[in-house]
Amino acid sequence: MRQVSNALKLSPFVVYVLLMFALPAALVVVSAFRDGSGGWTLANFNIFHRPGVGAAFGNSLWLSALTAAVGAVLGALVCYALLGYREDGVVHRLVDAASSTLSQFGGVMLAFAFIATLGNQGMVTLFLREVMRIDIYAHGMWLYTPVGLVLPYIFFQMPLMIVTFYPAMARLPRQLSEAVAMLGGGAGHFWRHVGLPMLMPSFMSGFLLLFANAFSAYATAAALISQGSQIAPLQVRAALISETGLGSEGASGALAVGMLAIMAIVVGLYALVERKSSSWLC
Amino acid sequence: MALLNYSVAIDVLEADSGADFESERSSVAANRPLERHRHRGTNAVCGPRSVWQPYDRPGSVSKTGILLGFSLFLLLPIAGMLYFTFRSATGGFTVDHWLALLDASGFSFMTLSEGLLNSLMLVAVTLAIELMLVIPAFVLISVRFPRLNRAMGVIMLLPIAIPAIILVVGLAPALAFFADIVGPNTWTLALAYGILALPFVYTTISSDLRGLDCRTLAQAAESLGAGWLRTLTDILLPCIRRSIISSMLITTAIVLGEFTIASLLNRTTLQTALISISKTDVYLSVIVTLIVLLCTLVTLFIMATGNRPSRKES
Repeated sequence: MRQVSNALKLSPFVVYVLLMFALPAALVVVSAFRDGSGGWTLANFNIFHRPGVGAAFGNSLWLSALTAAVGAVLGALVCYALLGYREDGVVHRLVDAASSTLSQFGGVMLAFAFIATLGNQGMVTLFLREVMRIDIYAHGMWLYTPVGLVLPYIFFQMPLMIVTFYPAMARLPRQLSEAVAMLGGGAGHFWRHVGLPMLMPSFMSGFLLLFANAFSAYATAAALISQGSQIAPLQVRAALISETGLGSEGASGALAVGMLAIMAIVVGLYALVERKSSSWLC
Repeated sequence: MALLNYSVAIDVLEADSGADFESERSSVAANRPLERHRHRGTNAVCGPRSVWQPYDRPGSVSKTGILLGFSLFLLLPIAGMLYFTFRSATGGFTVDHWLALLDASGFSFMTLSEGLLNSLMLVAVTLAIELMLVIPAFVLISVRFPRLNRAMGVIMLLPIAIPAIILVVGLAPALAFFADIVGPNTWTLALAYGILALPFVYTTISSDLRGLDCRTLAQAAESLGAGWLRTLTDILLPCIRRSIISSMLITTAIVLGEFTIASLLNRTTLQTALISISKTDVYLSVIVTLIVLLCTLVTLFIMATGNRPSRKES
């Protein structure tokens, strides 16, 4: 009886999540296997043979991997530096606030910031061209291509790594470095045999989160890349709004299933790593 | 997407143990190894002249260097935007672009204010959804269905793992269904935004609940005759008010920054307005970006500052 009334109290939330999350997600997957007349088909997946689609997925993969790796390493370095400051000091609070804000700062506004800085008339571009006599666009404009997405992506990946990785770093038991010192080890021994192995699981889960974050980022690319659909999310958009009548709903569904397959691998790895990291640091 | 809440979570942890941890560390780190060296007269670990530096703490040179580089990287695009807004078409210095902000007329201004109003309305509706529907459910789960906690950890990861661009493919028919019932209103978008914010709200709230022993509190309240609603509003929610506030802040940031779903469903929000005015008046869009960014930064910094002292006293 009691369980029933508790379950009833939970039902509005369950209905909400089912209706606005489970149902749409299921609709996407189903739409990938439907043809125009409502029958089941695999033909939608032919979109992967279209020129540009494979390249877009490839671009998304290297872009996500690169920015996640760079963002994770640099973010971890900043976490390490933060350990040297008081937890309730001004520096700490400033970095906290800045990284929370900037990791949310994806999207359209980020694109504007980089156009204003690195665009053809941007501050850094002009400075390099007029003072240092270096033209960073001598070999063509790369800001509006996937290469140009690298810096903006790192700009929100690094703060995200700080926000997710710092807790793990701060939880590293302090006695460990003392124990290593007592046994006569140096800083190199500590990091190679104790610190890094213990932080590795948290670092990896941070890296995977950054990878997922970059892989699904859409708004920055939409605002920055003007020509073509050079990364996977832009391909989904192209399929969604295409008016060429190529069965666009099924096609976008198929592309979405392709992205979901990659994300499923990432989430699976994340769950594995997470279990390991929770057994180390709790 | 950000996980602001992780920092909040660790704040809570640190608040419990922070003070004595700190003093213990300094005495252990600074004194003990030195004493040892004085007795034995060896320098196996470090020279007797310098205080032993814990291996897991950065030296003052490296920590300053790293943070300087980091802040330079963060400040460069912001400086770039500032420079951009003060630059005239001929390359000189001008304040015209900022003065144009005062001139509240014109097409781009109309679009922008419509987008901003819509976004603020969406923030309000999304916050209402989180407060009335989502957070009570999270509390209920951790009080009455503790065995679900593990599963929730995985389920609440899914809205991050499924990109918004994919979700929108399936959301379009679901929202169209709602539009049939209540009419084509902008606020229905908040139903989708509530889902996007779920993982962030969950991690913030659940880490706070874990430290609270909410089951005992709920039992105590009930043995005194309180019903579930009373227990929730008078006992449990006030206990987690800080994480509620920070989850509200994250939700606000998410809703104000969301572009994907709004643009693909052809709604006008702050972000879609920024894109459309950037085609005619790029200066205005950069100025608005700067203002939004600085407002968020200052709000979060004040939150972080304001949270500290009260946390220690409680």
